[in-house]
Amino acid sequence: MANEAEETVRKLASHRGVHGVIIVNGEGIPIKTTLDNHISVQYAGLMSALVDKAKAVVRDLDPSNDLTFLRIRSKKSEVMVAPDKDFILIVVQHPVE
Amino acid sequence: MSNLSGYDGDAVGFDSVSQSKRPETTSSTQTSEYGECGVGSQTNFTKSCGSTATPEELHAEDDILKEYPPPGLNAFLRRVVPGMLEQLDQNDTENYVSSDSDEEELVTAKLLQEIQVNENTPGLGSGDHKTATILSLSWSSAGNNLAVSLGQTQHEIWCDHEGLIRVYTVKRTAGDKLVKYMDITEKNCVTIVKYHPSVAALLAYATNSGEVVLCNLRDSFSQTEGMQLTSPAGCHGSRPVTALHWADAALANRFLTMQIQNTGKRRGAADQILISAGSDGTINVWQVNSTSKVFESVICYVINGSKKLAAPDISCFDFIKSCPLKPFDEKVADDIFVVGTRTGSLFLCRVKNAQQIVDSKMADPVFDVLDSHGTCVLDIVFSFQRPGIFASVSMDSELRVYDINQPSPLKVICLDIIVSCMSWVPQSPSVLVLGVCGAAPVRVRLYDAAAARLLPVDGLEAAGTVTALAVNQSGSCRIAAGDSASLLRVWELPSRRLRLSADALNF
Repeated sequence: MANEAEETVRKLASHRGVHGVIIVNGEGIPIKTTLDNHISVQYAGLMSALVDKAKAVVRDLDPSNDLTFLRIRSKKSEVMVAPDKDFILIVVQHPVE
Repeated sequence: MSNLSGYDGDAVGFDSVSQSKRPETTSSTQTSEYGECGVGSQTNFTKSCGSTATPEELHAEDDILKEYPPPGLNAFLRRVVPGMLEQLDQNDTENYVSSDSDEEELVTAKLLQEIQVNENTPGLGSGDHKTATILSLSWSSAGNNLAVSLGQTQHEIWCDHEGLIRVYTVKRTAGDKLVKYMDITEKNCVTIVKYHPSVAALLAYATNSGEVVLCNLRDSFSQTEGMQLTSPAGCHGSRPVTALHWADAALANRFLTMQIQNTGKRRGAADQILISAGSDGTINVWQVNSTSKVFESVICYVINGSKKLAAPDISCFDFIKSCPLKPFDEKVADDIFVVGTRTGSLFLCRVKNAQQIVDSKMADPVFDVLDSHGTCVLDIVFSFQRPGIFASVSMDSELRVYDINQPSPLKVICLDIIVSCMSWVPQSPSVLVLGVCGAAPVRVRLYDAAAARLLPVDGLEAAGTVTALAVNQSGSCRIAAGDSASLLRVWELPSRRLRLSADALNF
């Protein structure tokens, strides 16, 4: 079972332009990461809060709706967040040269 | 209350109770701690989420990762990873480059070499003379030789300076750098040097005293007798020669046929046609052959000669570029040339219909006068990609683009930089290299004539006023720029990375 998660993370990390992959549990703790620990903790904390806020916004606009995906594009990178009930998958992508 | 005295002034004390009615809100985005409450949304999460974890805790695998993988992780990944991959693939197709991708990419020119050309030149710049200036540059056909002419730009009456041509060649053992190959000295300043566009050993130059000289550099490592062929004395009225041009094959055939018809002499297989223009208003066409020592005049054109007007002081001229592979309906005449003068006039001339001047062997080639510049025309260059289109620049920084089919310019662009010389960039139909003088820090600029804007190119700094430019038109785009301090700089420009406008060919 562990191998499946490992393999999936490795597959994502080897995708073109992907800088790092982080899986965060429901408590906001990074449980699997390809980045440095302190960067993973930072991403996990901030993205968990942002996901909660985004979920709240989506539900406020339409109570029957739910957040499924979050993309944050910046000058230097793009963060893609796939939220779920118990986990959050975060992928950081840098521009392709 | 029983222990109150009977005095009105006794103070009555109550226990102080403070109650804060305001809700307290704390919000933090620090990474070590995150707490949130009382936000204005109906769906109100009050949760202290796990950014309290420290890197050290992550190492405590016995606590957290003991149950790895946590229950449901694989199911979660199976659910979200396809969507994530889809998003990543979408990024690939969008070719994601940052949010400011609309901004133009800054092209950087690489400085290949910097050469102080006037080193070890005792005859130049000595005594009261000013420092020698680079007057002209020319790349050989293959781009592996560069001829540099050194001299003075200003002369009081006669040129009494010594002229010098330094020929540099690319040496593989020196790391593909240009190294000095030979010097050619002249009695006067050499105003123009021009390599033949296909025969790499042929170098022509012209002097301030009206001489046109042909050099064959093939089998000479030093300046030897017989290596040079000089034009007959007195041509161009001993006035400065301001422009030289080697005829391409089609134009050379036309002139050589004319020579055969006029003289009855047979032409040699290696005969070439060299055209020179002087300040006396004449344009001489020469049949030259370095091996059989031929340097003969084919015809002499006098601008405005048939109208009995004063001959203009020619500052530059250029021939139309022949395009033999163009479709029939797009073909244009390949014998057209444009002459610019110091008064700003532009004469459209044609070889075929030149009017013979009475009692003279000379002819007047002018068949139209284009709208003129206000001041001296510094340079004229015909487009390589668009036959019939040419650009001209004048001393008052006015850049004009003309089509030979109409007298008025297609574009008149007033530049905010003082331009001294220009050339087209190969493979770019609308981009010109401009040599700049004045106080600007960047002395070589790229200009998109179709879009009328300067292109952002980094690395093209030069020290002084740029006095001569040469762009290697074959292979990689190498720009050589000489300045008033005799400093030669050679850059390599990634010209294919220049982003062209949609209407690059529509002037």
